Amino acid sequence: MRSTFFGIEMARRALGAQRTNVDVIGHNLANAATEGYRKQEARLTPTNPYDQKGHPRMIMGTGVKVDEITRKQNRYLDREIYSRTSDEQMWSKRNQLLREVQDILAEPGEGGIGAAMDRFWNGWQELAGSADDPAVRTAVLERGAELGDAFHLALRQLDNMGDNLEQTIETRVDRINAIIGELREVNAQAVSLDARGLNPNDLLDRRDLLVEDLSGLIDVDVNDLPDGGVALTVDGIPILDSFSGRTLEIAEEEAPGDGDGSITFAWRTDDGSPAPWSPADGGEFAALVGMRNDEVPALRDDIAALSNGIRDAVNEQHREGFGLGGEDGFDFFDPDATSGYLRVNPQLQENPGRIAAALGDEEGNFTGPADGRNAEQIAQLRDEGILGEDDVTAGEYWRGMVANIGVRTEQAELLSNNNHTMLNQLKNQRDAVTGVSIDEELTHLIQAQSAFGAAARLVTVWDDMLDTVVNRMVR
Amino acid sequence: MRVTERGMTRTILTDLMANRGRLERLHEQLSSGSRINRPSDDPGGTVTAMQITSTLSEIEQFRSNASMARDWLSATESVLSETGDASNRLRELAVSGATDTMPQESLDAMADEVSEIRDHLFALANTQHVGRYIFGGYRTDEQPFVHDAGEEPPFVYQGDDGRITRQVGPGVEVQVNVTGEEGSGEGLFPDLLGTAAEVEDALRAGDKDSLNAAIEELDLRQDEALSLRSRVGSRVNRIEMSEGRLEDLKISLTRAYSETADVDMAEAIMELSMTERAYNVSLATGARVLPQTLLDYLR
Repeated sequence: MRSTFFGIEMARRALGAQRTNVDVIGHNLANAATEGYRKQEARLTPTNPYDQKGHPRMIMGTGVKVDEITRKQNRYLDREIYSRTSDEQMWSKRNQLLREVQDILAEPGEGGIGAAMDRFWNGWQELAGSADDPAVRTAVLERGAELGDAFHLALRQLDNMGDNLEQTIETRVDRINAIIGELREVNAQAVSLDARGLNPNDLLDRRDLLVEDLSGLIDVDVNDLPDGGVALTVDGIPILDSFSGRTLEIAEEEAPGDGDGSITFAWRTDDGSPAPWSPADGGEFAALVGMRNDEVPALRDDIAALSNGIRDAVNEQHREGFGLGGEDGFDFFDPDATSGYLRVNPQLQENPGRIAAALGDEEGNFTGPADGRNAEQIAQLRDEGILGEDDVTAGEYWRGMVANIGVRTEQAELLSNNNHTMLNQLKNQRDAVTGVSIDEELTHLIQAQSAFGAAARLVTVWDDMLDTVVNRMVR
Repeated sequence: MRVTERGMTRTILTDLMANRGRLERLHEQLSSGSRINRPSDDPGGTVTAMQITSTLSEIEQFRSNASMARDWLSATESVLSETGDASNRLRELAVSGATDTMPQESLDAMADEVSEIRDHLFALANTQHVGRYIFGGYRTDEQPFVHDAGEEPPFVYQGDDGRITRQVGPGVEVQVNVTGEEGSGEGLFPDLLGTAAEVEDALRAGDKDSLNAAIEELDLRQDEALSLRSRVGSRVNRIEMSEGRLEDLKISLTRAYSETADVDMAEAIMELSMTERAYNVSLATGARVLPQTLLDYLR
C-alpha cells in the first residue's frame, strides 16, 4: 500500500530535479562565453519504481531524480586540437620571427646592404677615373664606412634579436612551469574526487584548458589515466602524471660565440634528476629556441662571411697598389676589426692619399696620381666570385641569403595560415559538441520551467485531494 | 548539427580578420606602389628586383663615367684643334718666308709671330681641365712641359705615357687622355715646338732651305694632329654608342623592374574594392547574426 503522501513526495522530487536542471542551465548560460567551458547537462532519470506486491502488472513510477551532472566532451577532437595548436603556434611564431629577420635585412630597398655594396663598388669605379681628385678619395672612404655601417646595423639587430629571444625563452620556461604546477594541483584534486565518484566538471574544464595552453608552448602527448588524472609526455620524457611532475629548466646558456652558443634545457624531477631536452618541432617554444640556437647564429655567420669576404678581397687587391705618395701595402679595411665588422683602416682615414688607386709601372714603381688602374681592379671585384665554395659574387651571395629568408618566411606564413584555419575548423567541430548554444539552453529552460510549474501544480492538486480526505470526509 | 555562439563568433572573427588582412596588404601595396615590400611577398621577384636595382646603379655609374670621359675628351679635342690652327699659321708663315722676297725686318716680324705661336703651343701642351694637366699621362698634378734652356729643343716632358681609362659600359673601356708624347717621333707637341723653333731660327737667318725642310715637317705634324683628333673623335663616338646602349638597357631594365615589383594599379584597385565589399558583407552579416537569440522572442 502506498503512503498517503506518496504523490506529494513525487511532486517534491520533480520540483527539486527541475530546480537542479534550471541551475545547470543557468550555469551553462552564465558560461556561454567562457573559454574552455564545456556544456553541462543534468541527467534526469526516473527514480526506482514502486513494486506493489501481488500486482505484477502494476509497477508504478515514483518520479524523477538528477542522476548526475555530466559535461559534453570529445576526447578525439581534444587531442587533434592539442596537436594542431602546437603546430599553429610554432608556425605563427616562426612567421613572426622571420618577418623580424626580413625587417633586419631591409631588402628590397635603398637602406640595405645590397644598395650599400652597389654604392661602394661605384665609388671605386668613380675613383678609377678620378684617382687624382681628393674629393673622390674621401668619397670612397665614406662609402666604405657606409658599407661597414650597413653590416654593423644588421649584425647588431641580429644580436638584439638573439637577446630578446633569450628573455622570451626565459619567460616561457616560467610559464611552462607555472602551467605544469597548476596541472599538478588539478590532477591531485581530480584523482581524489574521482575516487569518491564525483564529477568535477569545472575542474576538468580547467585542466583541459591548461593542457591546451601548454600545447601551444610545447608539443605534449596527452594520456588519460584510469584514476582520473592526466599524464603528459614531451618527446618521450614523462613530465606529468597523477602524483608527480617535472620542472623545465635552462641547463646551460651560452652566449653566441662561447662553446656552441646554444641554450640547452632539462626536465628535472622533484628529487633532482634531470632529463636533457631539446625541443623538437611543435609549439611556440620550439620556434623560439630554433631561432635563438640555430637560425640567428647561422644568419649572423652568413652576414659575417659576406663582410669578411669583401674585406679580404678588397684588402688583397688594395695592398697591390700605390697611394698618392707612392706608399703601398696598406689594407683598405681594418684587418683587426672583429669578424664581420667592416671598418675602414684608420691609417687611410688619416691620409686618404694612401688609398691605393694606382697600380704602378712594371718595375713596381709609383706612376702618377691619375693612375686609377688598381681602383678599377677593386671595382671589378663586384663581378668576381669572391665568396663561398661556389665562387659567387658578393651581390649573388647577398641576394641568395635574402631569397632564402624570403622563401622560408613565405612558407612559415602559409603553414601558419593553414594550421590556423584547420585549428579553427577543429574548434568549431568541438564547439558543435561541447559548446553552449543559447537557443538550446533557453529552450531547455522553458521546458524545465514548465515541468517545474507542472510539479507545483501537482502539489496543489494533492493538497486539494488530501483536504477532501482529511477535512470533508468525516464531519 | 549544433551551432554555438562561440563557434559563430569564431567564424565571423576569422572572416573579418582574413578580410582585414587582405585589405591591409592591398593598402600597403597601393600606398607604396610596390608589389614587393619584403622578400616573402615574392622571393623570386625580390631577387630579380634586387639584381635589376644593382645593375641600374652600375649603369648610372657608367653613365657618369661616360659623361666625364666625354668632357675630358672634348677638352682634348678642342686643344688639338687649336694646335692644328696654330700649326697651320706656322706653315703659312714658313711658306711665305720661303717663297716671297722680303726684307729681313719683315722676316724678323714673322719670326716674332712664330715665337708667340710657340708660346701659345707651349701653353696648349700644358692645358688643364678641371685642375688637371691633360697631357701629362698619370702625372696630372704637374705641368707636363717645362722650359729648360739646356735642352735642345729647350723644354722637357715631365709626364709619362700613362693611359687613363674609364669604364663607360659593361666591358667597354675607353682611354680618355692623350699623353704629351703621343704621335709619331717625339710626340706631337715636342715635334711641333721643335719645328717652330727651327722656323723661327730660319726666318731670323733668312735660311730658305731650312724653311723648306721645316714646311715638309709641318705637313707631317698637321697630319699627326689630324690623326690624333680623329682618334679622339672615334673615342667620343665609342662613348656615345655606349651611352646609347646604356640608355636602351636602362629603359628595358626599368620596364622589367616595374613588371616585377610594381603594383598593377588597375588590378589592385579593383581587388581593393572587391575585398572592401567582402569585408563589408562580413561586417554586416556579423552584425545581423550575432545579436540574435531566442531571447529576443521570449517575454
